[in-house]
Amino acid sequence: MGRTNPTYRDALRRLEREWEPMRRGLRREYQGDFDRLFARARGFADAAGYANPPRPERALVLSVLLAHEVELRELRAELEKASDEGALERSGDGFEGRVADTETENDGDEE
Amino acid sequence: MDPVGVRRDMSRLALEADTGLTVCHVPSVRSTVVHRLVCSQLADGQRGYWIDARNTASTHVLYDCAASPRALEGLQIARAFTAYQHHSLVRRVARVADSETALLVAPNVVDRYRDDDLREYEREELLAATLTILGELGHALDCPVLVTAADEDAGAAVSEYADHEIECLETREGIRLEGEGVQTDGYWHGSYWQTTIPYWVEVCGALDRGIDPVVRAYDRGLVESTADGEAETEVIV
Amino acid sequence: MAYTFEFDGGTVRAWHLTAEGAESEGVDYTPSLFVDGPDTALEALAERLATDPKVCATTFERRYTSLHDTKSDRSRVLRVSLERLSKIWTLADEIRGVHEREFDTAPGTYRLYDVDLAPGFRYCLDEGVDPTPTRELRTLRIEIDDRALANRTLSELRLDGETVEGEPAEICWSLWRRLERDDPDVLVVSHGELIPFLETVASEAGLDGFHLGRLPGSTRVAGANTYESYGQTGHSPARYRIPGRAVIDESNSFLWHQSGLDGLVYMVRRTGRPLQEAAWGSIGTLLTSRQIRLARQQDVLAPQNKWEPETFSSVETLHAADRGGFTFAPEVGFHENVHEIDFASLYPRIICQHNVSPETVGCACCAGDDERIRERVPELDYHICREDGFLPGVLRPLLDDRAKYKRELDRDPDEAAERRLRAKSGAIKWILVSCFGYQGYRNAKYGRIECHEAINAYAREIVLRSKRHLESAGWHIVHGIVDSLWVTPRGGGDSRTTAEPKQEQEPEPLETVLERISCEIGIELEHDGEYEWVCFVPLRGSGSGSRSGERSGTGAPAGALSSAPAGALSSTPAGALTRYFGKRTGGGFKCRGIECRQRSTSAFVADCQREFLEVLDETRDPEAVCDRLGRRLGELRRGDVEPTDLVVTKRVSQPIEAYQQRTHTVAALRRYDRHGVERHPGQTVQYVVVDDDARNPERVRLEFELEFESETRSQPTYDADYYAARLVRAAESVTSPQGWDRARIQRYLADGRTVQLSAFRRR
Repeated sequence: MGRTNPTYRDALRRLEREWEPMRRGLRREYQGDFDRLFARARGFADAAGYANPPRPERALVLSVLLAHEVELRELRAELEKASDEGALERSGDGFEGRVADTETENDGDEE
Repeated sequence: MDPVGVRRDMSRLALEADTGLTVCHVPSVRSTVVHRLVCSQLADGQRGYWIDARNTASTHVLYDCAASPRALEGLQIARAFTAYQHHSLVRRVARVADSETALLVAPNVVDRYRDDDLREYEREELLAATLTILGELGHALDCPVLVTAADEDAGAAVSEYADHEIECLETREGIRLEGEGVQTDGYWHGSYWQTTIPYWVEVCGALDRGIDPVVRAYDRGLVESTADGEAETEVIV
Repeated sequence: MAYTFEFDGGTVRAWHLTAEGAESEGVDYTPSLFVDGPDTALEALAERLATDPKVCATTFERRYTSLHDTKSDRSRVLRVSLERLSKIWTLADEIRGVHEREFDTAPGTYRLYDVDLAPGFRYCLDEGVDPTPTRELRTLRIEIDDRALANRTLSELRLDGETVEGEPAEICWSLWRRLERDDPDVLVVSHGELIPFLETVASEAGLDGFHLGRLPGSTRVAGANTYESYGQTGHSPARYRIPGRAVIDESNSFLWHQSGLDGLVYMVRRTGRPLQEAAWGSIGTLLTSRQIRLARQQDVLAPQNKWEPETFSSVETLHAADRGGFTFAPEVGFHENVHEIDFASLYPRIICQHNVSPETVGCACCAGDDERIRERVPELDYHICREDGFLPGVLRPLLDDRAKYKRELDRDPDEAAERRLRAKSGAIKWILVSCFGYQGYRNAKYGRIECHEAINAYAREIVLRSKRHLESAGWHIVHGIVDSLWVTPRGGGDSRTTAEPKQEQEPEPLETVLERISCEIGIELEHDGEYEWVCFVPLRGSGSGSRSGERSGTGAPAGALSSAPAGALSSTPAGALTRYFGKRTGGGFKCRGIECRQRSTSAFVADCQREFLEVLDETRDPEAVCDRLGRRLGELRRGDVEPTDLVVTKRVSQPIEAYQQRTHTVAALRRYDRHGVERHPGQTVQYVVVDDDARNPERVRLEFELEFESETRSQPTYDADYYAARLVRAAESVTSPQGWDRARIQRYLADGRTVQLSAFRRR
């Protein structure tokens, strides 16, 4: 009979389309970041879909935050590992620098 | 266009005076005009019945259009997957609807009657019976009954039974309703709105700062429109 | 009891199997249909029908008109009995199309029941006949080539696989002698059309008295038609009956192909449809027949049309209810030590365990009485009746049979017994698989969308409860679809699975966890397979070959690929839900959704892809796969591949006029047409792409045209570019889980100069 509602994954696709003008307006170096937001949201589409939010955009935002939380944990773990090995100094600057490196690396891969 | 700042023009849609059967000619079966009308009409939690065909009753769209979940509290939906079920639902509404009922809608009302599993002899008559009952219900309950038709044939089939006709046009600004007397007798205020809801505005609420609550309410169709039925609000971040 | 039937006027010829053959018996039979409606309308109708010569009697009886009704009183309905079975449809149309209108009542005043039943099935239902064969059936298989039948030439026939050649008269003569000698109970024909064709040929050849049945004559009982079902277009050929023998048309029997005669006979027993009607029935038809038969036992009629609608519900309820099962997004990549576990027959077991049935979900008898109801559906507003439901009764015997056959199979039966058990178990499987979807099918006689929704809600609940148990026991879920889960011990070097960096303990043995879950859920969770490794394939164009792949490819030696890249979650491409492959512990690969599993893939490409899998298994290195790909591309370009290995099979989805684009299928259809061979939607076409850039029909050659062309050396043989693109795509499926997408394969092969770039240009 066909479903009446789109799936959450469909809703994500629709939201991405809807925000395409924003992407278009972004400078090239930010477009990859923009795409990654949606990719990260898709990474949690299973759980977010189960939550079945009346407004899927809220689940999108929460998913992106969650992806950031995961990334923070992973970076923190890498940082600890690195500092245990003495490869990186235990300073706030070191942490900042590491984050920036990771992002540059990502951009390179996207091209 | 600014990617986040979205212009929204909306006005309250008033169907109160339009009792009887109103056919709205829509540009596509996926048109969301019914969702919007239902949400503005039932905003205070009044009772409404939705006889669905072709999976039009997407709750996502309804939640999008509703100013608050309360606007949907009084809405009852049932979906028909065959013409027989559709007709049964119309009869069922005739049994359960009472004077509290503020609105009946049946989007894509003709579609199920085109299914292959109908015999030719019953196709027209079953549809005619459905439309007649719907029209009678509108008068008996003194409430508007809104059906949509997305193509010419469907429009012609329904027009015969309709008390009022309106046209839903897609314009560059969004969707626009036009109809006999819309401009003059004020049944239908000239109405414009965007086809898409600015999700981030609603999700983050970030844009709410600095915007007059009255303007916001207006945007959501909660207050009557001004005399000319049009207003503009620029939302810019 | 009889096993096959013919209908002629008011009598039925029923054939009983005897030790030597079969005997027929003529019996009078009066079929009936039922009408429901307001009393006065029924009285008026009864009066009107009294003068109808087709009708021999009208009586008022008490029946249930729906499963729901069984919760209240039976309705007073009009039974209309007819002289002849063949007039049922005419009468049904007259009641709705003529009488209803002349009485000036509202359309839909009369609701009809027991109208659209297959004749043999109806007879067995009405007369309480069990059409299950009482002894082993003798079959004769008759096959003819597509083209010969299309051209109406008989120069060759295969009888039970043996070829019979010669003049038409000789062939018919051999067939006739074979029929006389073996006296088969069942004819298995490659095409239903073969029946009138052979009779015509025999009569033209002057073979008087030739007949395929146990008595002379044959009847066409249904014309050919094209239909749509579940969104797919199918074609059903005309159907024929011959006296005393059941006909199985191979071109029109799903079950025959799936589970053969044993599966069919099993279904005869469980549905009450005689063999011939079981053979052409779809799975949905068979399931409906079983339901109709069981409903009849409870005095519930079979509605002609689906009048019963869904109940009105709030937006909130609709929102909560209208969703599918729970699916874990697969973690794209290469995973070691993976176990597949699944709930066998989850949906039918949910139906039985929770008493889900059209009349139990939201039943009126328990409504508003929380003491009385059996349970509430998780997440939804629906309650379930405490009285035993109809649908569990339909399915439980099938589940029990299947479990029994599985147990017998475990006891190492001999080969013949094993084949039988598998056939029967396979036939049941199809019914069980479709029983859930059928609840949501718009024309399902006893289906109800609320059941469909309830079953989904239970399924989600079950999977999430299982997940919790598995995770607390130290297992990580790499993928899961509705009823099956893929798990791996948590910790294995995969940082994303270890929220806390502390040392993980060994997970609890899987069997122990499974037992605990099965016990709690009440449905058995089985350990279905064990894999050395499994790869989940990314969605095409989802940005594979990005960070995760590059990292493992450049930074680490090939062997290190086996551990998923660290920090992968945020940059892992989205996985395709149903595309994966893995190496079973103990040997062999399991593949789903990749090219070698698709019917449209040519043998060459499929073989190569299997080879790539082996290379990946040996080396775990995408580079090695690319090297092998390079070699195979070389062969392809040198023209070393046999065109017969490049045959592509496609399903025709619509009539040729309806195709908007000039696809290969259209080109092939044109060519079939030139040969006078009919190809309908639902059937397949087989071709080789010879020049993809050519004018439409010249793009392809049909499989049987190849023979001729290779003999005459009339080129072309195949389009190497086209197949190179297919081959690269097949390789990409194998390497993309590790981050090697098409662009990366291209770069790698270009460096090695083993392949021409044009292989990548096509989509």
